[in-house]
Amino acid sequence: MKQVLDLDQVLSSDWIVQENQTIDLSYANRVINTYDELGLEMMLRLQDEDPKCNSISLTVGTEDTESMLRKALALQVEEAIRIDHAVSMSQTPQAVARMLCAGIRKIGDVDLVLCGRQASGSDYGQTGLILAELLSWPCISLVTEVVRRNEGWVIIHQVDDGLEEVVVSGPVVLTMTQSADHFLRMATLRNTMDAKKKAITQWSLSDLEEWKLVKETAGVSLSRIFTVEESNDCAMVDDPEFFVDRMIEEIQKMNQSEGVSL
Amino acid sequence: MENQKVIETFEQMVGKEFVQTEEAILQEYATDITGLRMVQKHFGWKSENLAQCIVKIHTKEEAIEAIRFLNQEKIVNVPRTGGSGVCLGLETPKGSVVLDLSEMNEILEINEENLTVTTQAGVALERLETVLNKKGYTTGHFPQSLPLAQMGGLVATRSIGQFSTRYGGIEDLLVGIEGVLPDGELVRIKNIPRKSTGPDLRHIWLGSEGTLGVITEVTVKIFPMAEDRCMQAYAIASFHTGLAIIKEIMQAGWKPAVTRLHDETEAAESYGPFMQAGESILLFLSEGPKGYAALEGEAIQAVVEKHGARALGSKPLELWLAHRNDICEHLDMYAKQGAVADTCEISAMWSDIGKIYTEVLERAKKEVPHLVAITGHSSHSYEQGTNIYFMMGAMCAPQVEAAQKTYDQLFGIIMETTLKYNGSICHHHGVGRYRAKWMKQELGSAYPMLEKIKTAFDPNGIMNRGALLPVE
Repeated sequence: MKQVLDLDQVLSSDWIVQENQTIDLSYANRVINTYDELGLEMMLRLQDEDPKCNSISLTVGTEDTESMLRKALALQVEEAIRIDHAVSMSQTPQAVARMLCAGIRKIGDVDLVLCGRQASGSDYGQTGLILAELLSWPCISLVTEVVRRNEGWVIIHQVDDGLEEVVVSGPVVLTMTQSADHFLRMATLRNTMDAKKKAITQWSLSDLEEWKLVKETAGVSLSRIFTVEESNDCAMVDDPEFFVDRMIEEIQKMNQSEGVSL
Repeated sequence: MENQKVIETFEQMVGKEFVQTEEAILQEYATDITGLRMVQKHFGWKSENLAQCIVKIHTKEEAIEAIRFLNQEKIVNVPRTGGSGVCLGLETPKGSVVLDLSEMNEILEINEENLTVTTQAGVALERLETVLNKKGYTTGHFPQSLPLAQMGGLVATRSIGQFSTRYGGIEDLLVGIEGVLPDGELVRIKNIPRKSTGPDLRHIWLGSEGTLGVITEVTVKIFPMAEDRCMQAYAIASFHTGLAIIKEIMQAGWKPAVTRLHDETEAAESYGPFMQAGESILLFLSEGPKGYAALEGEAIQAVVEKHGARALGSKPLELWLAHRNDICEHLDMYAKQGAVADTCEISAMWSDIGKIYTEVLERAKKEVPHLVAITGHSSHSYEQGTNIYFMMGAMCAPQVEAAQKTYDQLFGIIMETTLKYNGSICHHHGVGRYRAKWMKQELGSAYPMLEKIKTAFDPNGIMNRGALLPVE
């Protein structure tokens, strides 16, 4: 799971990139990534149906991500684990996926990993796919529903022309997308209070045996954030008789400047 | 009279295309946007009490003719405009007729000399506000239902806006009104700033919830747009300290247009990064002619600082202004999450309001088994007291009956506690059908007055039967 800032809260007047390549998000609440919410709800439904199903919420982040894990615990996830690492904006999804992979291998007996297709902010849309690759597991993307069937699962996911239903057995990674029909349930006040007292397992990178140190930025560094400037030009043709000639002339000029012949 | 004959009569009266009988549409009109029905619909609820038809009214003459016919045939009708009621006031009795005035939507006159605007009942408030803003005026009336509400309904439900401390509720804004009585008589109360000619008859219409006639036209005050604004927010140690601060500001004679106090749960939810654990938040917005806002702002600052408040700047106000009506776009958000959720606003004197807040929260946390949250804020204040707007939600089994039971339990706690401390069971949402069962306790010895007014105006009981007064 990933904790993100609630960007819907940010005032339109504040969406201006400052000199240090950031915008002021200091007042935005921290929330569970929308796409991860559906993964969490599907996991809880599987747990509702099968008491033998064990659920774990796993994240990479600093202590301030624990409010998200406590919400998962309040919703009756059995265990919450935080890999203690400050994920920066320049962190590549490869590095995050590698940490998650090491964490999943440390957990051991995992059949199903559900994660959001992307984050609702600072996203690359790659982590789940790379995670499956690192685990050498199959990955099904754009999943909207998961239902237990026998020893496997029925997966409904979006394809170009609608929805597709597939039956899979684990282990498998699913990247979840939004669904019009399924939403994350709400925690009762009593469970929220109880969750405040529950322990959250914390691992450092050095606790993860399979964690192989790689350059966290994998050779990528943030250079600048910028908006592509679009320019429009307008010319008035006074005499309609010459309109077509003028059009051809303008298009030729444009193509010459772009190195294209008419 | 047989349903088919009723429908044919209306088709002749207003035109076939303005009489709707399709079941899907009747279901749509069968209720309003009360939180209970939102979640019950999610669990499969459908009304078994459909109206026989929806009649779109476009002129006062049509309204007169329609009501005269309904009275003659003793057919119950439900007048309706924006449909943003939240107390089941628009729920259709079986076989009734819905009189939909939402297409009677002309702005008739903007009078810049007297500072009034006259509109037909179906004029959308948001549209009216936009039109007035272009001319440099405002209605000063901003209920959360702004994107949905229409003028007739706002008067009929005794609406109030978020800037009420300065501009007042709709009862302070209404200058004149026209409506059709249940026997089909058209009556108008002329536009006058104040008079001493017996009881103020406008108050028969204000809060009548369609039970005493149909409102066709209203004249309300307008105001020049404020020249200055001062916005400030403060964190405070407790909700009760916040109440004490607002009381002091009100009783000193200040009128900050927006005066809000959110408890610690709401503060953390909406303004988390500004807050420390356990703190409540106060929001003040002062506005008016040049110089007024700054003067009022300084006075507020002096009071809150005396109570040890922590200044948070204007950002929380900016956030509130930007997001205050977001819920209108996500009305069924909690229902989709399987929660029975709604809001309930009550009011009481300063001596009692804090007790109601504390006891409601304590009881709900103790008695409601799957409570998700119960929170409260004060958003409309007076020299004598304030309101508390409770927001509550609880999980329940995904069944219509289970939702009803949970909703009744939550609402019951608020109603009982409010009445225990002599508060009022509705501050601005109205009574509708849901709260009608508490009206005898609410009005006490004054209840027969309301009964007699209803009987005198509507002897056949055709006007929105079941709303406001319980059906015996």
